[in-house]
Amino acid sequence: MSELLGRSFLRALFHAGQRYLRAPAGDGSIEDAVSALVGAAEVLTAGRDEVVLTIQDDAFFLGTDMLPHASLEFNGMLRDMQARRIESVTVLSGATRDDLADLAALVSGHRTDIPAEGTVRLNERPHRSDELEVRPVSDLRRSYADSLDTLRSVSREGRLHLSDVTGVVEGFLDGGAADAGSSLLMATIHNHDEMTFYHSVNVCLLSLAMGRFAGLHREQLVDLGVGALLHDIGRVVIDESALHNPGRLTNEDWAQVRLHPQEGALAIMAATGRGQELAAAVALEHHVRMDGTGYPDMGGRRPHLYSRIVAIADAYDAITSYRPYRPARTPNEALRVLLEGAGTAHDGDLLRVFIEMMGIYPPGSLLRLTDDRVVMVTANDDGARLGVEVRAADGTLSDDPVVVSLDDVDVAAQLLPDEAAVDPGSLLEAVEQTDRAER
Amino acid sequence: MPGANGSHGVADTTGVEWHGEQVERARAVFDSVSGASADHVILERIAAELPRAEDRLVTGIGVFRDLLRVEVRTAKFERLLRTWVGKITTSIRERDFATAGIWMRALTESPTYPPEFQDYVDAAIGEVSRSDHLDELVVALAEEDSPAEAIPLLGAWGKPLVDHLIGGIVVDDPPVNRRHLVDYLAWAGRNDTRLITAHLADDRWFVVRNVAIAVAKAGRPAAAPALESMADHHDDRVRVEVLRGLAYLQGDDAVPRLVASLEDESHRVRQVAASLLRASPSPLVVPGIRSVLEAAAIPPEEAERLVELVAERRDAGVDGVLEELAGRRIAMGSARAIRDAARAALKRRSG
Repeated sequence: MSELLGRSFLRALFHAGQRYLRAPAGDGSIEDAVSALVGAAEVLTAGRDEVVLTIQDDAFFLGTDMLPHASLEFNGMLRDMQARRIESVTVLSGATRDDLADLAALVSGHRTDIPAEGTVRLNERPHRSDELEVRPVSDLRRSYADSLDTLRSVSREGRLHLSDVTGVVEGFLDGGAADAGSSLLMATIHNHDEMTFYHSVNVCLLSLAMGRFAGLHREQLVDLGVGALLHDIGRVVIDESALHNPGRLTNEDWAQVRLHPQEGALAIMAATGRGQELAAAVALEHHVRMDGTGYPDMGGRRPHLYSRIVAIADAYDAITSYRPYRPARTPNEALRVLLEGAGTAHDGDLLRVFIEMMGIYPPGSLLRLTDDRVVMVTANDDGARLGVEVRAADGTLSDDPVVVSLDDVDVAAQLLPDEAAVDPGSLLEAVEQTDRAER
Repeated sequence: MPGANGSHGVADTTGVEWHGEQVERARAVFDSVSGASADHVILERIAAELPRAEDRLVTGIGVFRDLLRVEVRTAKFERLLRTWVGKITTSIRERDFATAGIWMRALTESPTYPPEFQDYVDAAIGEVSRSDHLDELVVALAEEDSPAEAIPLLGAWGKPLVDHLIGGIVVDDPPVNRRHLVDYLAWAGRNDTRLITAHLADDRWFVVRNVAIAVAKAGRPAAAPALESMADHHDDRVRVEVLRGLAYLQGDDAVPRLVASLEDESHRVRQVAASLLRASPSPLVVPGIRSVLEAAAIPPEEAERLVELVAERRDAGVDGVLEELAGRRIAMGSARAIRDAARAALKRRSG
């Protein structure tokens, strides 16, 4: 079964659950989200009597296949389902709208159970461990999930434990986060409903890769990583709803958003632990521009080096991410936008380092070639720019993926994942799986 | 790196499209680092900015002071100040007095916060100066043998600490030895001796005595006039410490006061004055003692010791003074003792 199908279903389930959480009862957005879930369930069960989604070992399994990338992308829902002791969800062919809506409400904590004999059933036929095709989860992926958990606990408990944050950053470094290729691929993960958390982790990965590229040693990278992971921690204490409103922010929303640097710095200063001072500086200064403008007003003082590094990673990830008031843009467009701010918004030296690190087409970029083939850029290995060909029919890789040297082809356009109907993270999983099989 | 053509909408070798004026600005930045080895130059610049371990605290202080400046919400400002209290108490608990001092000064020196928030700052200083916190401080200092690194902390703490230390001096069972308290009082008064000289007006002689000691230890000559005002204190134990303090703070300028104290009604004061004059290298010592001896208004045995004190010195006019004293014709009581002592001293010096 395709990971993409599983991901689509999980995404629809997650969004429906989020609508139950965020929207008032009876709101039209809940109905829309449930309709999307019904559609995803139909596609998922097409040609089958039922599909079993198992939750085990901190991962989702579709049938017996592990969904590592989707497990990370919907890590929050995974944790919630684990907390509610849901070990499996069986979706029968023709699952009803009511049953799927109940499932979404259950996942989001709005219900405690669903009818036993419905078309969606809980814990009925979980696969046994020895039936599941458990793949080793990379250290980087595990650290990504850990860092999401850490940020969630800050949000939930309202307390920041810097030692936890330092621990996950060290986990990133141990897992190869300072390697630009791995980090950049991993940093393509986004989640619209936990936007701040995923964004923070991506900025951390990008900053670590950039720091490594610029020659920082491990201790410095840990400080940089902690600052990057916490750069937006102030957002968890401001009114998050402002961030999810469609359309442009109102003046009131904007005033709230502009407070998040000092909120974050204050929260970090109130915590104790190693690297606290630098992290607080990053949180406070990451929206201060090189020309002294931005916010808050630092009296024209130049931001700290780490703040300037994080500012670039922050801007890059923000530009390449969907926002309620604008679509995501391609990595290539993001680099152009960043360059427009060289010397004014961003440090020109650091920007140059960043662009050199990213290359023309950063890993995870989707390219349409002049012969209409679609290619996903993988790591830029030893100067060789490589990609894998994506099947146009279903946005997946063939069983024997075609590796393309980007030096030998002409690129017609860079695509957004939605435009190409491709999930780079899932493709990455497939590439990694193929590599492992070959080894 | 960008190609030569920066015109509107042209893609260069990076695949990045360049637009108008932005292009020129970006290019200026990039051109500024172009050269034989641009990357090397950039990396060197970055390396020069990498924070060292000792920069962390400075960065943290900078953030704190920035937050004091930009935070205008009362509740958040108070939270920031609670954090500040925590920094200081934690540093003291960890015996890191230098760091505690830096945090203390971050708030108290060159304030960055709006004047209308002064009440909140005062409240925070009151909180960090709670009696239990200050007792913890002095105990920690004493246990660590009063490290000099704590001086900036105590100097910045100001009045609440001074008042607490004075309170410690007067209680029967102070948290540490009073000698320590006086030392810390001196440190607390280093930046502004008025904080401690104000307590010279206390009506308890033992407080004034300890404050006088502390004023001297603070080592600020500007505090000498305040000490001088206590030179006629009714208790000779205070006058003794005032003399010591003036000698320490004023050096040669204190000699007239020491000479005058040779005629103090208290034997203890006279003895200390003589000791301090003996230790003074000032050329004013011999003429000053001579004037006292000429008056012969002191007991014979003390007069003899003063003659001995003159005889010990290497000043140019010593022999002349001794000869003059030795040649006196009327010699009774102290005057006789002075004459005899002078003659004996001359004999020794010539021998």
